[in-house]
Amino acid sequence: METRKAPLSIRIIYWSTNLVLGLLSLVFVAFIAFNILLYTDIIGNDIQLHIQLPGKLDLNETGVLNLTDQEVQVELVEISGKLHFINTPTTITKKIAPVIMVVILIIGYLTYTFRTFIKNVKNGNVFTLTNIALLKRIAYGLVGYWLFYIIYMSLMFRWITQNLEFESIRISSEFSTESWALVIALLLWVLAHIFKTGLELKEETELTI
Amino acid sequence: MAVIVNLDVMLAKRKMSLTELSEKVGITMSNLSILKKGKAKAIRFSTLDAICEVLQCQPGDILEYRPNEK
Repeated sequence: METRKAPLSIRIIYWSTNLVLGLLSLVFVAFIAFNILLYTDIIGNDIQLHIQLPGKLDLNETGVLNLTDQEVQVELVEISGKLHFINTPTTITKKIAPVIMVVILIIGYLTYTFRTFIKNVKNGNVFTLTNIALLKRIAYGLVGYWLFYIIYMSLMFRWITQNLEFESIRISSEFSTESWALVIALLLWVLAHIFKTGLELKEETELTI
Repeated sequence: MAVIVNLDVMLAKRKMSLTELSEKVGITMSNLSILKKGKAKAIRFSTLDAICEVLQCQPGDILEYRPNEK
């Protein structure tokens, strides 16, 4: 049987996923080492930690937008940002570092599953039970990531917003829900069902004499 | 399945092997085997036409309907 070469787009996605997976593995190993080192005296209280703020920042800054033919008065009212811990105490780092490791682990698992799926597609095995299971697994993984993110962000929201003090900025009461993860999970779930129908049609065609 | 394939019966009546039929009809042995074992989901008119021509029979001699026993 003649083997058909996979389209360039599939091959590019496959090799990019391999690259991302390799980088994630390196980052994960580095984070394990970092977590271990946190419990030694090597790492002190001078880590420059950056974390995503769980909520939007409410502020009221007026400015001017210079367009080609006119100036428009504008107001900056809501922004998202990161919090930089200047010389972070290890007690805080010990709380945040494992969370980042879990996030890397979830993203790594999703990337690995996607890599297996795209490898199957590259090799011409498109409508298979394995691919259906892989798509569902990615969908469940994204839901898991979303749940973890929501729990983490709500805890961070309580922890940070209640204790953070700035002169003219305050954190909005809403926090990002990362709903894109749920939307993609839903789309993948639908795609898994499309693949299931594809598999049934493929079997019917193969068993038509 | 309610539709039974009696290809083996017709082959025995015509004293023909599956290999011989495969060569005369131009269908692979594996596909004919699927048909003979009743694992096929569908059969093309062209296939039925070719088999009937080679075996000198009617489609009803190859396919038989038997209601499922409950």
